[in-house]
Amino acid sequence: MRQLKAFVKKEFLDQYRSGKLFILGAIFLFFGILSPATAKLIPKMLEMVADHDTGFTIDTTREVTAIDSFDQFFKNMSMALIVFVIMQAGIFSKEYSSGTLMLSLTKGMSRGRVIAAKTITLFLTWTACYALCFGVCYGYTAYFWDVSAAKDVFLAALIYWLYGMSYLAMLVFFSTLVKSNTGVIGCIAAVYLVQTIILSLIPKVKEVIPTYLSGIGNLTHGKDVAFAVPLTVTLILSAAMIVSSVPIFNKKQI
Amino acid sequence: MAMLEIKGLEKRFGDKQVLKGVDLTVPEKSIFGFIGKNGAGKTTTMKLILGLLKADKGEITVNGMKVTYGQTDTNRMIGYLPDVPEFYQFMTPREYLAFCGEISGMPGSEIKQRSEELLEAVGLGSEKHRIKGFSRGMRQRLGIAQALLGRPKLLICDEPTSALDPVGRKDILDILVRASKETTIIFSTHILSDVERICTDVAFLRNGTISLEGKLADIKRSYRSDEFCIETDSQASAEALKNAFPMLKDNENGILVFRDKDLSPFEVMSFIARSKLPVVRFERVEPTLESLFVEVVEP
Repeated sequence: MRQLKAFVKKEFLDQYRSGKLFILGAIFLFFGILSPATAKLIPKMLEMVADHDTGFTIDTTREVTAIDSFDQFFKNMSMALIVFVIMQAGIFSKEYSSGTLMLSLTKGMSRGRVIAAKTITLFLTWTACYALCFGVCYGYTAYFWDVSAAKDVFLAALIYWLYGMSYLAMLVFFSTLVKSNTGVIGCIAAVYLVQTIILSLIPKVKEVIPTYLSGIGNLTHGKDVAFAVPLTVTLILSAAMIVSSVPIFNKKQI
Repeated sequence: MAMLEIKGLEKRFGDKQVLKGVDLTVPEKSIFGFIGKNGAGKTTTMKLILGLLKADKGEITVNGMKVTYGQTDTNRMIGYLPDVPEFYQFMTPREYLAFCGEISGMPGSEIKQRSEELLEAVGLGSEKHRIKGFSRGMRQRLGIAQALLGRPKLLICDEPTSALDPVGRKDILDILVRASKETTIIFSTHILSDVERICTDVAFLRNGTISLEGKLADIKRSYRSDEFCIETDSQASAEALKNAFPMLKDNENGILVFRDKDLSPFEVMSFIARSKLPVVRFERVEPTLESLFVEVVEP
């Protein structure tokens, strides 16, 4: 337990002193503000673009609601998730290439706990960033519009949060398999791509595979989104990846 | 009892067979010099001892406990200083040692006390900056401090002095000698003067096997030659000696040499005494590690 705590502490010190925590905080804060801001400003901008003399009109009669703001949130979140994964992709590989992990391991640090500590660090950082982003977005949205217009906002946010976690599980898993951070990013991108291809070839599977959850924002429209199966699949796969990364890491040449 | 025992260790990288059956025994409380040319396989051997590499064949035991590849418990008894130690650069030396202490399960109060003691010993006592700006020598010092932190039974140092200036080297060697009172030290090097200065035991690694191993004193004794040399302060004295003993040979620096079996050293001494010849030096030629190295390591 003490080993784990010390390692998590070290990870956070790294996140903090390398400025990652600050940059991620700023980015997620930005996305949090951006979502309601876009929802608020776009109709106005479109109105400015519209030119009634030439007949180029844009229908701006539809009223903007909280749903638009949350829609923006879930769209922006995919971008924020990519940024997060890219920024954290070196969490293992940096230690491989610099050789810093070697000293910890030769001090009797358990390899399983290295995995655990880094996973905890990623999860906590992601949770904090996500909570900040969602909190800001929700606050502004509630200030500008009536949030009751959007359905199941918290459920949708919770599911997207878990969906984000599955990428972190992938990050940990692939980090034990490949050595470089570009390799890790490549593997994650490949997994995403494969899912997209499968989705386009066999549309029937869409309600089973994890990427389906990226559209969880539709829940706020009051639409029926069958998330139970893909969510279960995602959670099981994530847990499997974390658990299986331990024996792989135990045999990895550092 | 042997602190470290290696039997029939083999390791191959691709088609390059680096170790071809290394056998090695490191006695307790010794300072063991592990000597070999660059690329002889010293670092590979050390990484195998630490379970960082997978051996193709052979067995390693540390203090009677078998080393396994990957997660290995023997590392709890070992302090390791890599050839180029890499630390978390965002930490200060104190923070780093505290981290090391915590992951190796030392009690908090001991970590504090031991860190201060070690940082003082390696000359980093007043260093408050982050490791990021440290010079090579400072990193090496911190490397020794972290390796000794947990009072390891076995300290493995991979070329600890190779990159340092003479003062830095002397400091590191002094630290090692002090540490040897509590721990067994094995250190690899190709700097023979370092070995002569502090080692009690040596092993030469050549072509993937140990070509010579034992107590430094024993090895030197067994390789001791029967050669003597005489250095005189003037050409005239040298001529006088050469006239009296035609067996004396001039070597290139004007020093006269002879062998025990050709000429009795006592006879020469008494001649010098009788003729009152001023001599600078009269000595039995000790084999240097240099000559041994050349003899043993070079084909």
